[in-house]
Amino acid sequence: METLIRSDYAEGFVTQIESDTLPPGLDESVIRTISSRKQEPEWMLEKRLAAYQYWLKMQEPNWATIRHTPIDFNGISYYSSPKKKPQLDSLDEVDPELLATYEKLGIPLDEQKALAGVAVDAVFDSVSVATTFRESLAEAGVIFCSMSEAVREYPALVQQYMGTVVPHKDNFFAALNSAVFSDGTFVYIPRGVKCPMELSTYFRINEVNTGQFERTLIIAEEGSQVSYLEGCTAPMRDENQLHAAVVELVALEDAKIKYSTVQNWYPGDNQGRGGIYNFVTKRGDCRGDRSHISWTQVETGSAVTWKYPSCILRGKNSVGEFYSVAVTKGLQQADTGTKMIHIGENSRSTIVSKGISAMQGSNAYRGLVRVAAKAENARNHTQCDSLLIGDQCAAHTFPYIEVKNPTARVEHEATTSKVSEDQLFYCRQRGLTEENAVSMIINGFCKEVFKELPMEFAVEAQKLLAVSLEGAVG
Amino acid sequence: MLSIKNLCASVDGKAILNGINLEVYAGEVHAIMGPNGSGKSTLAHILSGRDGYTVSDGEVHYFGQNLLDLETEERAHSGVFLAMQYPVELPGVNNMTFLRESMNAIRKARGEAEIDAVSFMKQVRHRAKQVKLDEKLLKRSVNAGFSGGEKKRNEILQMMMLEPQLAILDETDSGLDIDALRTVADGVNLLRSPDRALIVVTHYQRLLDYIEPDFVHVLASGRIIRSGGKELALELEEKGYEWLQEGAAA
Amino acid sequence: MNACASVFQQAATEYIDSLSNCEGEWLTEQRQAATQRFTELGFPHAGLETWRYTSVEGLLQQDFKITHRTQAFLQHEVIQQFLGEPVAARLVFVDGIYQPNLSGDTGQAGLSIGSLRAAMAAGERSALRGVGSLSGIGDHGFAALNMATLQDGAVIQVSTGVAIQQPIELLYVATKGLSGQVQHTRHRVVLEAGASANLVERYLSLDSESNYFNNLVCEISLGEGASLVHQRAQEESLKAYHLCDVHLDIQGDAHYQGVNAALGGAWSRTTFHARFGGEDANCELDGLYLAGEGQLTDFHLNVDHSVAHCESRENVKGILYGAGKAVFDGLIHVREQAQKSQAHLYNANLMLSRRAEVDTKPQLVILADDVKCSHGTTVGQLDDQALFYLRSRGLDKDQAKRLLSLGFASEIVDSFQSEYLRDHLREEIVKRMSYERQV
Repeated sequence: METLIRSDYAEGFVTQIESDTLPPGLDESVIRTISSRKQEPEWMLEKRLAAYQYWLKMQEPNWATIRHTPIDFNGISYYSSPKKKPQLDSLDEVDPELLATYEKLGIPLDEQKALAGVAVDAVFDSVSVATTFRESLAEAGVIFCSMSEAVREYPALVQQYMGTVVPHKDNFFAALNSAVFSDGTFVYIPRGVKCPMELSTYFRINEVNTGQFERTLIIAEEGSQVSYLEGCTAPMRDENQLHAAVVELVALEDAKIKYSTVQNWYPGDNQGRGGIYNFVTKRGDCRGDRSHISWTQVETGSAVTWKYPSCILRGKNSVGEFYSVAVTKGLQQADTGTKMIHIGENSRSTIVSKGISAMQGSNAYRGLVRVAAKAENARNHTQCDSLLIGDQCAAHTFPYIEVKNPTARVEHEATTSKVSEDQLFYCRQRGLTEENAVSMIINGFCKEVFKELPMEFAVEAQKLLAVSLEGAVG
Repeated sequence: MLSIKNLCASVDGKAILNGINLEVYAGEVHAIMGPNGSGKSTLAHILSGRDGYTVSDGEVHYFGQNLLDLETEERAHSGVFLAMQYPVELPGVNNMTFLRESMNAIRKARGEAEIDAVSFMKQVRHRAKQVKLDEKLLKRSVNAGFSGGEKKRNEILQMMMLEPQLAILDETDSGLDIDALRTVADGVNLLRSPDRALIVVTHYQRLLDYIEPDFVHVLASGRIIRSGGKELALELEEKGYEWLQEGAAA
Repeated sequence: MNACASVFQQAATEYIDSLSNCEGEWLTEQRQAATQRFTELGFPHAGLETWRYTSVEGLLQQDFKITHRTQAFLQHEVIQQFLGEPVAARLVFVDGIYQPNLSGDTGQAGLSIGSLRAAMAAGERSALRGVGSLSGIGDHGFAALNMATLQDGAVIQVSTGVAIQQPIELLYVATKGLSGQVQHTRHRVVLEAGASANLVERYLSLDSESNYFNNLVCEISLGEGASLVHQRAQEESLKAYHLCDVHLDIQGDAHYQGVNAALGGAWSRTTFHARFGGEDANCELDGLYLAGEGQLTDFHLNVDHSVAHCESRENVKGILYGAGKAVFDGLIHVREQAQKSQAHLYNANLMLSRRAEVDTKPQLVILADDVKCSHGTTVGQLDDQALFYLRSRGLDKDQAKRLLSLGFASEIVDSFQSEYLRDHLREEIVKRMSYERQV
């Protein structure tokens, strides 16, 4: 079992410092510079500065079951031009192991280039693709643009909603993000509109280099619907160790937002060096009655993952969902889960969390289900399963359940199990290789989550899991 | 086809098999009987390549190659099939997908093309009908929540689909009522052919009423203490295992 | 350190100074170390993870006094009404002080039982050595205070291979005289290898209005192959404060079967720390808590699977009515080397009132792979259909609720081996729930 190939993540990228990059360090002048380079209005700058002042007074949280080397917040450069030139001239210069992983995932050549930071030739014209998409979105009245653009073009909407779901006082990393956010995505779905396409295909190609302090805001007006997909199954190159994104979702009456994430950032080498620290604040606000927010995440990358996509179920009959697969292997650590805050009557939430720990990986589910006194007939069901592969890994489950209403029904179940020898033998006796057997069993374990992903992505996610866990079974 | 010479094996330092000798030729059906703890299931597991057993002595040749050198799935590829006493549950793994993946793995190993979806479906439906397995169960997770009888039917279905050269049935009759037993046996009988051998491991004679063996071997304390024709099974039924064990001890 | 804590610290120091030195230097040193620990820790606060839902503010406002009492009195007839089944031995404590004249037969081969105060007075090294051996000098302020100023309790030892069939009962009765005071009690129970016993602890109050603080620590060691049935019934006054840390050390092949019912107290908290010291040991614990108007009940569990092949099963149920508040926190910790562990934890809460509240937190920390662990939690209500059914048969709504609640609790009540306690607890549950006007 030990002899299976280890699927190491490619490392050792060449970094060229661009001229349009601020020197490391953070103070007010840095924030002023960021704001002025982005040609932001005064109110945006003020928001940033207020967040910065607040952040200065805050302590980095330490309650999660993760250990990492201290982050030097003054050792980070907080601005570099978003339109970096490709740093490599051809795929020949890319780490062959990275290419091998792309091969295994079946990623088209041009996409491989984009992901690896190679100049893209004329065949692959992302600009024209983007234009086509934009046209059909514009026809539907959907706004889909970068956050920087939104701040300039749609200031009223941004001002009305930004920071209302995740205020800068929310937590240490949210405050930092609010002060220095680089760029991100803005989506606005007008009343009654069903977004004509998954906001994903476009994004998969263009997401590269949105920076380390992403800021996303999605607003779904009354009766509208949108499905948004971020990330990519392919491991993405990135020189920034710290990622602290903030995602805010607002669903008004009868609106539905589906937000899917596939995160496969660099996890660090075998000694745990150099992986991404991913500290994300994601929250959805079901503001309107019958609104619906669904989070689906497949987390396989990063050295440290700290994220709790949450739902505030304010509206009557609102629905919150959280489906998660988190894989940790090698020295990866994940502390992830969700919060479901039931405020509205008849609000319902479902949590399905599947944690897979392999080798020395550590995986923690941390979740809060709170039923406020006014949340009549609130319902929650939580299923939290851990799968252990190898005897040095760790799986933790920390659910918090707070109920203040006697009509609430809350159920929480958690199990821990391993890929059993019996199961492996059975599959192998029927002719499957051990790798296939493991991947089949693991996909079975994760099925409830994968079925929530957009179709073509579910297939990729399965492959991703198989590639991620190669060499982990032993 | 299969030649076992002086096979000795242990689990956790405890000797279970103490010198098994057995020759199986194509087209034959061998029944291995014996009391609980005699080593019947161990023999079945070792032949199919289950971990956890230490072979301390002896050889097993299968079509001339050393079977014990092969990985579990390589044995499956070369036509060894084990119908288990306690079929394993695979939560979340679709029964049909599992079967198809297995079939294709074996076909691939044999250098054959993958089966196309249409003929696969047709074959599965046909076979499921033969073993009276509810088609709904094909769409569920492998064995998860199946009744004892359903699991055994599913095993036979897999056997029919994978078309092994050497099929080993480990206590396939345990936990089956008479109707299920008959169905399972009918399925097995359909597979009898001049180029295929069967080893039927069982505690009771009743399965052999339906799957008629060419040879019956009695296993006790890890040895074959008596071999004979199908009449030996009837004799055992009548007299129990003790008369043989006493005889062996004397 | 706040004013309240310094008052306690002062009292503790005075208390220690007032003790004659006969209990031996060792214990005095422990007391001093504990006072120091208390000074460092202060009182628990919401910033500590294990205290986040359980405020001690109300307790501190009561201004309980540490006093140096040695005497209390109660008539024999009063005690009589609380006596149930025949026992192997019974120690009766009135206001925390051991009453030899009220206590029962303690003479039995292989069973050594006496009061901690007597052991301290006599400087019985062998009995005192075990004090603090499982709890340490205290991992929170109250536990440290207990060690610093412990007054009395029970010291029980069952010799190797001895089976004590009938229960060993510790009966605590609080009178009005205890009002305004804190009572520091500690039990030390040792079952040597292969020994077996049945321990009953009961905490009662003669007056439903008396407010006192019962601060207990119970240290139980089970030797190899030992077996203990442990039945605890906490029926303190509705104004009382009750805090108990039970520490269990379970050696190989030993078996612990505990059941805990927490019915009383304005504020009560029970923590079970179970640690396995050898393979093939087994720990089963059932718990019931009831919280009505003005009550907070807290149940903490910490099961430490530090060796392989052990099993634990915990099943804790709670009924919340009135403005009752419950906190449940159950942690199962399976360490690296503890392969083949099995641990199952279940917590169910029945919420009967609009003003009730529950915070529950079952946790798994798993560091070994070949384990079977699970936990489940539910918060729910009585089944409407069942309520309707009972009402259609003529019961009023409150009666129907009580009956169904009793049904919910019966799984736990039935795990009490003592028939007397089972009957008594059922009555007590119905009685307590009847006080409430359902809102």
